[in-house]
Amino acid sequence: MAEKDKLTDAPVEFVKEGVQFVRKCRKPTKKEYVQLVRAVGIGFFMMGVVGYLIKLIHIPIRYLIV
Amino acid sequence: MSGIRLLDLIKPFASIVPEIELPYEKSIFDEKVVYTIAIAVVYLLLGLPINGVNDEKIADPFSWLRGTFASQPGTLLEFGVLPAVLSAFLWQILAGLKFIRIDFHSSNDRQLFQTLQKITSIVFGLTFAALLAFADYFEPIDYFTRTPEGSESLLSPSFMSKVLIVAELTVSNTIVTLLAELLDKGYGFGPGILAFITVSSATTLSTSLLGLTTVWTPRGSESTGALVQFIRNLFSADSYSYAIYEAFTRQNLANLTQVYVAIAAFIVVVYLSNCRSEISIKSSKVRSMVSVYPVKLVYCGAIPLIFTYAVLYAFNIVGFSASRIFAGNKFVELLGSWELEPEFKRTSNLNSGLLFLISAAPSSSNTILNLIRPFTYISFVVIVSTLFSEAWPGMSGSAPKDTAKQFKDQDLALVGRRDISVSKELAKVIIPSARIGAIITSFAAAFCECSGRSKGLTYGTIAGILSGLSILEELVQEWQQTGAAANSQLSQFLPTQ
Repeated sequence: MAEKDKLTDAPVEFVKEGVQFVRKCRKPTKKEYVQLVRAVGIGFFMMGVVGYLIKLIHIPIRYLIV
Repeated sequence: MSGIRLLDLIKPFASIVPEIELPYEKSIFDEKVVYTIAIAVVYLLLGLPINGVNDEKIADPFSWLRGTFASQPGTLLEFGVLPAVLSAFLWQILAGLKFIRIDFHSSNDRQLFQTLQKITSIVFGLTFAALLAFADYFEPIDYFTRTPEGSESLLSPSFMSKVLIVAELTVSNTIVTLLAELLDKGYGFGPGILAFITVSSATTLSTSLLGLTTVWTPRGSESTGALVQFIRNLFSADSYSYAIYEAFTRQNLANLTQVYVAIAAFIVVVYLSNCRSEISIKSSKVRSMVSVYPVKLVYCGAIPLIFTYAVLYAFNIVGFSASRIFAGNKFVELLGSWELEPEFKRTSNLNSGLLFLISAAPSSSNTILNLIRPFTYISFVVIVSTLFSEAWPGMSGSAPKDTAKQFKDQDLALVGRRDISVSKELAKVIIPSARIGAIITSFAAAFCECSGRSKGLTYGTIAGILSGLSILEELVQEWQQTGAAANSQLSQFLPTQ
């Protein structure tokens, strides 16, 4: 049993430390978080749309070179 | 060995390899923004088909790996940023482990180190291209007969055209490496590689949701965007329930389930990346000036995730080529075997072997392997990312010791601590945060991927958003610190603080 305990000790300790650490972290408040998700989301999405539009340029280029 | 360093051996090549010159003066904020956007646009435009390859007719074995490396099958971006990523990691790790001696304070050494990375990246690109070309990866497969049998577009490339393909891929990979260097050297924001990954993963996500272009499949023309396809289904299908079911489960292109999982992962990652533990610091010169130094929970950002997939991608390229070149060899079959997906013939998927166990490829025909796979895959991704994230701060110069030195240079001290113990105190925060951040993000990414139905969309989105946030951080820092707010044309769009 003792050996088993030792074997399981390390991961348990590891998880405990982790949970403690995460608890101590400062987390964004709900308002901040909603704002953040919105801002980052819109940014990411816009970037994607622009990227998609650029990729649309490929269609005429393909016709030209193929 | 003692006299000659590996770096010195690179010297003769330094004059041959093209290099980006450092900017004469520090670029101004607006210019940097413009450069960053322009380079990202150039990168996206590079996705042109290779001469001699029909990118609509090749079966792609790496579809689940592509999202993270901004690569597109059958185009000049066949490998995306993979060679650059691999060579950067390789040398950074070797330098961190002191296998090569390098003094990062000497600008000459740094320059040689960059040249070394560039050469390695080009060599990687060349090797991968040659492997794939001679493993018949570029062989066209008619997935849906619109071309008559034996017509020119179905001929497999001849030896000469294979050599041409390798040359094209090598040149385009060199261009990608140089574009990344342009951003790295202070013309734009962020490590170039991360910028490319961000832009491309954003594009993939938006295209998967709203892509208007149609693709010809055995079932007729289908839209690339899952939502667009859903609306089309509603108008055209006989029964609504089938239309909805189809939009959530189609396998040849992005479906709504994948997109929703990716968006959920996005929301979780934005939350995680804003968790931080704060250390109170004070200036040792000005009294009663106490502020906080934030240590992010996701300390290494996307880098552990990118590293894990870079390793997997390289394994898969080598494994795939080996399985084709040495077809029938028992050991190679043990490594992995690929099979053409029967219905749409757009991808060939890992089917069995060791590589299948650590992959997120769509499921295999072997039930036992399918059952074990989620566990082996998740544990592989989590363990590799975690080990890497623990070692990375020490190798990349963001270790507790380096941060402590920074503090000393800026006359900052921890509240209630003596100077000597600063690095110890920082280590107590930085090391766990690097480790736990990597565990959580890699677990989230691997968990979403493990069923093999997500096809890399979630992993790519998580890597993309984390890299995007680290670039954004650099941008905001410059915005606040250099007083760019006062003389920037962009100040009407960005909040001034």
